[in-house]
Amino acid sequence: MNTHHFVRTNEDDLVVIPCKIDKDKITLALDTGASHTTVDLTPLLLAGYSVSDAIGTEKIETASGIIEAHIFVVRQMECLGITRQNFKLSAYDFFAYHFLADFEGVLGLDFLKGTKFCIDLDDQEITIQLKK
Amino acid sequence: MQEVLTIEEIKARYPNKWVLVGNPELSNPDLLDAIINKLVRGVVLLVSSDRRELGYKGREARQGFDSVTCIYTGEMPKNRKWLL
Repeated sequence: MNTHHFVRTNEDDLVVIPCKIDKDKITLALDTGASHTTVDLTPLLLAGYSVSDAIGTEKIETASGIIEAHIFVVRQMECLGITRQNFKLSAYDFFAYHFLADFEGVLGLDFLKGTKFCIDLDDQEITIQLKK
Repeated sequence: MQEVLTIEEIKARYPNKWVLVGNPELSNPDLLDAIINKLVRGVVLLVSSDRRELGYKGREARQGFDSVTCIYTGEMPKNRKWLL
């Protein structure tokens, strides 16, 4: 079981997590209300993916309405000490929706599949164990 | 633009810009926080007022760099509530 400490200076802050797509570093907001991990398109373009690499599109229901996103399979994604190979995620142009934040997407429940996962908001730590 | 700069230098030279940073060095690997808060230093590869420009031009700019990250050097709006 791994323990990770997070920074949350006030109640307005989200829990944000530094992750990697392939070798590139991005920040994702932990979102247990997201069924699937979704990122901004820019990090994928930088990592060498093209929109033509998308395996399809899907409609995502967000708090702002329904958004059409591209589906990509990235070679590798790493968060919280867990590495997923050939990981399917969704991507759309966050900033076309005037979305300015210090994170570039959300880490959804799909990445946490097969784990025992605990968020301790009091001690500001996440414990995670890959069970299968 | 191949000089290694600290995050303070990057913010001072390129205020309120999207910056593509090559070989970013992050502080404290055990602490989860936004990359902009953990970035210690890196190589400025591309600067733009449009983040999407980094996406489209950054692929060429990053050649020779194993790892990159995008940061925004301006202030984020404060007192926001989130519902993602």
